[in-house]
Amino acid sequence: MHTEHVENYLPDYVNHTLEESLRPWVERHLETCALCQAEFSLQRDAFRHLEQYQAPSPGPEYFATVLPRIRERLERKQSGTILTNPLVTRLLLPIGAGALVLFILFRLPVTVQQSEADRNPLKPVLRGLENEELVDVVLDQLHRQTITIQGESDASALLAVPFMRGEHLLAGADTRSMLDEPLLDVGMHETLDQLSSSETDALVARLVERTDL
Amino acid sequence: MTDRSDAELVQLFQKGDESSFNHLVLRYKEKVYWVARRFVSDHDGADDVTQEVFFKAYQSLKDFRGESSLYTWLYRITVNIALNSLRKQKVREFFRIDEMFEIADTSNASPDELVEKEEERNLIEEAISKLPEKQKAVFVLRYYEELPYEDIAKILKTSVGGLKANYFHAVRKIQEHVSGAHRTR
Repeated sequence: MHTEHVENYLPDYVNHTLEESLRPWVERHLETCALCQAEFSLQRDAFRHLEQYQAPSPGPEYFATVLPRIRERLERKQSGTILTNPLVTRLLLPIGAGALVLFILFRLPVTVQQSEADRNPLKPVLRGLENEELVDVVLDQLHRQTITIQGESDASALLAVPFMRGEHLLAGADTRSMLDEPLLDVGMHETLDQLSSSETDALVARLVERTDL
Repeated sequence: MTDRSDAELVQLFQKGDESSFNHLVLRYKEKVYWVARRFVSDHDGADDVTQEVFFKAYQSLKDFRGESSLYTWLYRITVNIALNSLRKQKVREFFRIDEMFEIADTSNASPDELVEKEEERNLIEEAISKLPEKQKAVFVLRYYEELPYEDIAKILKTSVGGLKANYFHAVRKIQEHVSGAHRTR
């Protein structure tokens, strides 16, 4: 019998788990085969070690907790609470919390700005006005105003430009530079309602500033 | 209820008797724990695996057709979950609480003897943990659980042929690891 065939039986032979009928055959082989004798020694030492150093048991106290904890987990699962779902607790809740934080960070300051701007008495007047009407509002301030219109497609706004620049500029050198600054970059907006919050705020701020002039 | 066979308990469970599952847990909790413990080495990991095994068993037991015996089926679940746990263990550190039990463990040994015993045990656990997955599974099921090769073959879904060689090589590697460590001391 080839050595390889015998060595595969050695662990069970050493550990007394080999079929009784095979033991004599292994023993006969060991008497004549030096290689298998060496393997036998090695296996015997291994099992001595393994028997000597068994892991300590956690004890009956631990085993008494196994079933109650499994039952508890099964009941949690069966109750179907959304918060017990690992997908929710590990993924959706953190994402939701993050989204809430981001919303608060980016949304809250804007809300505050809007509420401050709403206190300005000019803003309700300006809202909803057409660009041409805005020109009248500006000129009604009794001060020379200028407005820069961007966007050539805005015909009504273009018509307003020469009227404003040619007839209503202040002559004073000190005020001219300030008044030459654009009142608002209107862009492609058709009405003031289309202005963004920041644009509306800028417009209101400039109207107030120029009223003071 | 405790004297009923596995097959009877399974049938009762499949008919809606929840308490029969409890009896199966009580019957197999220690076996499952120890198989898990041989694989993952530490108590916490073994406890996690044990919980997971019975949780999965509960969910799958309704579909259990009895093509294999229940314990073979449970061992298979245990080995799979333990091996998965080991794969996860490779990428994270486990806090070992074995020491908690070392204190209770043992007798009249001196502190030096306790330390030496602990070192030897760690050496063996280390050697087992370094075995290839299949050799480890065969070693645990054959040496610690004393299962017949036919059952191990069913659990691991493999043929009996190579199992003896796997067992032989596993024991050999464990001894080589232990001897090597002793030589370097």
